[in-house]
Amino acid sequence: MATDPALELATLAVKAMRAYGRDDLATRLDGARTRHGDHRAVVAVVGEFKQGKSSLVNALAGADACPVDDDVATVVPTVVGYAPVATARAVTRRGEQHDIPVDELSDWAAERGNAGNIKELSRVEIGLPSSLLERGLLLIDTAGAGGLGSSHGALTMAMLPLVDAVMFVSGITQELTRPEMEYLRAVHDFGHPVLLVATKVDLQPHWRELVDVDRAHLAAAGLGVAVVPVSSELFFAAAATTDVARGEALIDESGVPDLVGWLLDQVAVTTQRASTAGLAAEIIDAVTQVRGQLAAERDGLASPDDAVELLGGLERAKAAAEQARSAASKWSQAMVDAFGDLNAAVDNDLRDHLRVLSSEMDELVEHTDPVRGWGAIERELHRRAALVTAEHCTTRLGLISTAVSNVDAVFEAEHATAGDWLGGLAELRVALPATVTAPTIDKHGIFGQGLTLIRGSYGGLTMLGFLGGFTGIALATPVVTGIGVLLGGRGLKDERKRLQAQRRAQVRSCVRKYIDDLSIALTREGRDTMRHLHRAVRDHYSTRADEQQRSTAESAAAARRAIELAQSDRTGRIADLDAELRRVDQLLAKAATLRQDVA
Amino acid sequence: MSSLLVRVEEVIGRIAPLVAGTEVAADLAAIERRLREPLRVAIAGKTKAGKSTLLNALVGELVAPTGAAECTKVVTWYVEGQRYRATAERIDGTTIGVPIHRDASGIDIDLTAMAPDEIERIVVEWPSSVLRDTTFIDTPGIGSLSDAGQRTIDLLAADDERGSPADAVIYLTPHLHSGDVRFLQAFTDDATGAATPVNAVGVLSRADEIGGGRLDALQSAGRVAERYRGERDLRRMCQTFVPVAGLLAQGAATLTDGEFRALGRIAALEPGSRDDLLRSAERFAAAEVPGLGLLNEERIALLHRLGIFGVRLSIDLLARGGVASSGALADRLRGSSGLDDLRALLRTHMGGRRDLLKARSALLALSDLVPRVDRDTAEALGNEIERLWATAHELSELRALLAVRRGDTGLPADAVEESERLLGSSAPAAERLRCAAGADAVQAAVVEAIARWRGRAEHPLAQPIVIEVSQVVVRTLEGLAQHG
Repeated sequence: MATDPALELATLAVKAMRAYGRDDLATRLDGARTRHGDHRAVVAVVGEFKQGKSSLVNALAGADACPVDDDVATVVPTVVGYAPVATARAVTRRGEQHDIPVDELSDWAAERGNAGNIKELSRVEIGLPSSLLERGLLLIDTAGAGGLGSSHGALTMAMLPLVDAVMFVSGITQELTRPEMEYLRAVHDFGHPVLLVATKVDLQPHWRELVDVDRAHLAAAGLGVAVVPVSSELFFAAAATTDVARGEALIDESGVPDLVGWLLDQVAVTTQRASTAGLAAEIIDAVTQVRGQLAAERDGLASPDDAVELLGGLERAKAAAEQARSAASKWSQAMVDAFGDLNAAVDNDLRDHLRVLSSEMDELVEHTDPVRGWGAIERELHRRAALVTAEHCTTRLGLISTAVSNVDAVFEAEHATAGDWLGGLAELRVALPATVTAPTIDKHGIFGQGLTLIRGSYGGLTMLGFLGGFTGIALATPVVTGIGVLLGGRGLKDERKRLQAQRRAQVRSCVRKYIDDLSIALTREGRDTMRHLHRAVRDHYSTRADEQQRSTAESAAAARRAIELAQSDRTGRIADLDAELRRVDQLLAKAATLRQDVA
Repeated sequence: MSSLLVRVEEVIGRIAPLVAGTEVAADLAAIERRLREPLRVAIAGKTKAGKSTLLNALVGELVAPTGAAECTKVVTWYVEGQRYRATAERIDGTTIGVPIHRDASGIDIDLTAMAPDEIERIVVEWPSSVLRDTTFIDTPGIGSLSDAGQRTIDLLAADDERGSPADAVIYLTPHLHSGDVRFLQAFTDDATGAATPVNAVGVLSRADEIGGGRLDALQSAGRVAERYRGERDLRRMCQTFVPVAGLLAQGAATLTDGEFRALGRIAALEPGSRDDLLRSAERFAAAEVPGLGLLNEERIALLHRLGIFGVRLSIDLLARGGVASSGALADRLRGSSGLDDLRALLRTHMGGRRDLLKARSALLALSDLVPRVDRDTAEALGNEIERLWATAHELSELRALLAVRRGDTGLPADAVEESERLLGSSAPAAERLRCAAGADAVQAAVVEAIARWRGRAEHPLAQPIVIEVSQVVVRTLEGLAQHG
């Protein structure tokens, strides 16, 4: 893998920040650099039960990583990424990690050893020495158990905000079904790149026609989703053969290379670009602050007549930045308000959702004979509870993102004075060397880190651990009382009705108890999330406020130094500063080019 | 005719004069006629579950049209007849002949002249020894996008207390995960009122598609069926599950010499190019194989008839040798398809209980008449029905079995298993008691079992339902002691 120019530039910028004595900015940039280096494009592999998701992941990773079986399904999401040697570990809902032997994976990830996820895992992570994965891809094999309409399906949906792209897997043995189309639409509307992987083409002589039919369905529905036909079986057959020519023909026929092409071109490169752009924006922001400091001093030296005016402006900016740092600042006030509103809105949303769930379940119980249909009620309850949780978490994500962008807007407005001074100095006051144009600060790029914060606070990953029985919430089974159907039919009809009513009441109270437990669990999880988020957002913006304050303060100090400097020393200092500014401008120009390249 | 059916006939005989001349008379006559007719077995399940294909396999001929698109849009009855003929019964009661076309690739029932929603049902008469004992009812898929599925629901909509045109039901279900909401929906759609654990068997259909068409596909299918059998909710609906590769079974039942020769040619290829050819369906249909001498169309036809799994299995069998004729190959394929197991199951669970199921259908149908007759007749009819339910031990057994299988009794698993063995079966006594053959051994086992079940019935804390079931089991055991 070639060295990433963005990483090199960031390393250079970190060094520069340290050289200029701005360790705070250096630390921030270093963090951004590490994040970029660790960046992975997360691809969710979703689809109905038994469509060949795990086989496909195995074909892509070039190893028998995910357990494959004709009947048992994957019950725990399996995250497959790069590692120099094959490793595997299981992560429990409580966050404990266990290293597990790679060949015992089916005891953990699949129903065989972990039916109904009794091991309470939230995910299994596998590292493989695969050249495809090394390109920065992370594949998540989702649990197909239960199908798209089930609780698992809802949870897969809830995972969407955490991923960068989706491979939707559907066996070509039949056309796309209605639930599949609905799911595809939802994923597509979410805005992620989606690929329909038509698997099992080895079983279908007319797969080309069926692929055309599916393409027509997608086009008719207005979904811009590409279709790649694939046969994992042919790919594995190629791996098994010793005949090189035969193997190559099989690999071409398997369609796996097309899939790899899509993953690299559409997913890995795109997300890599977005990450690079984010890093470039961070570099530009940090370097601009230092530049402002240098420019202030140089301006002070170059035109002493304007220096007093300059100093006055800088003092004002400094005062504003100091004000913005204190607890009385507008943005911290805005944050307190935003989080207060956010908590209330999240609570309301949860309550509304659970109320609807409760009345829907009552309706269902009313129309089912609880003894004959208890299993159906239980499944339906789990499914709807999962849907409600997914919807709630998605709504919460929306609310959080609105709240954080409100705080961001207030912060930016409040720091406009300081920011403009620093930016303005960079742009206007100093005559720039002709080859370099100073870039403008892109505030949007900075917000990228805000998004990372939000992502981290999203309950989706926690929810993946909620498979089947929610976080250990058990659903009590109603006591089945016998019915006297046996001898003498008609006379016992009233008795039967009475017993049925009694059983309904029992089931209803079991369901209510379950929903209460769910409500408590979700509320607790929500509160924890909010607390962590609040802390993270506060830390993020107060660090930035500190940086701004320090930049303005240092600029002011530099300007003051310039005024006080003896005339004789000025010329030399100006030459020094011009050299520094040229260096800084080169850094800025490189960052700007980098960002332009990936735009 | 068994004594039970005779008693049902007597009831009908006593009621007939009371309703003579009313609109109910014709229905009563129909109930009586039905007692003597072959057992009516409905084949139900979701769209594209392979219902018509299974029907063809069971009959051993291509009687029902099958195809890639949704094929069965009208409830179709297949009855024994002197000649091939199809008749449509319209909703308004009139009937009209329907042209049928037969050729080597199957049958086509030409409905172009009429709208499916005007037709109540189609009756296809067909000379076949299988249909002599059983009338099959092919149904549109439940959950079909057309409203044809509603017909199936109407047809089967019946429960313990309502009659149904079908005496027994074969439920086809595809391979689904037990957590899938559709898994149970496939059975709990309103239609399944008709399916009770006494008259329905479940078939895991399209079994050959489960293992990706590999040669061990049916072993995998067997494991899936076993999982289904273990599902408590399903056991309330179906007695048991067997996997059947319907397409393979149909192909085996109708395998031609030409197809056998074509398969033989492929089997004779050298192993490397044979494996390459069988690698994928597309290769099999289109690959150039020098010297094979089979047109692509012929190979596609083979795929259509047997499926990729059937083709792979046939060629594997032929290549191993020892299969000398199309008949021998057909036997081996049928054996692999699971059809024989299904037939055996139908024999014991349906054929063996024919009279019981018929009597049950008749009594349920008679109950439906009660609200439609005048008050005095209603009371007389009601009493007759009640008396039969109460006094015919076979019917008590059936109801006890129902209660046990539905899990209403809360009996421990071994007691459930024992009562299932004992109740309503026509197997030899030693088998039902699971003891050594011979009068002495049977006698000893009966005495032991009676003591156990009497204990259950007399336990002071026993639930009423356990008492009732235990009493029925004791009577059954007493019967075994008397008649062996």
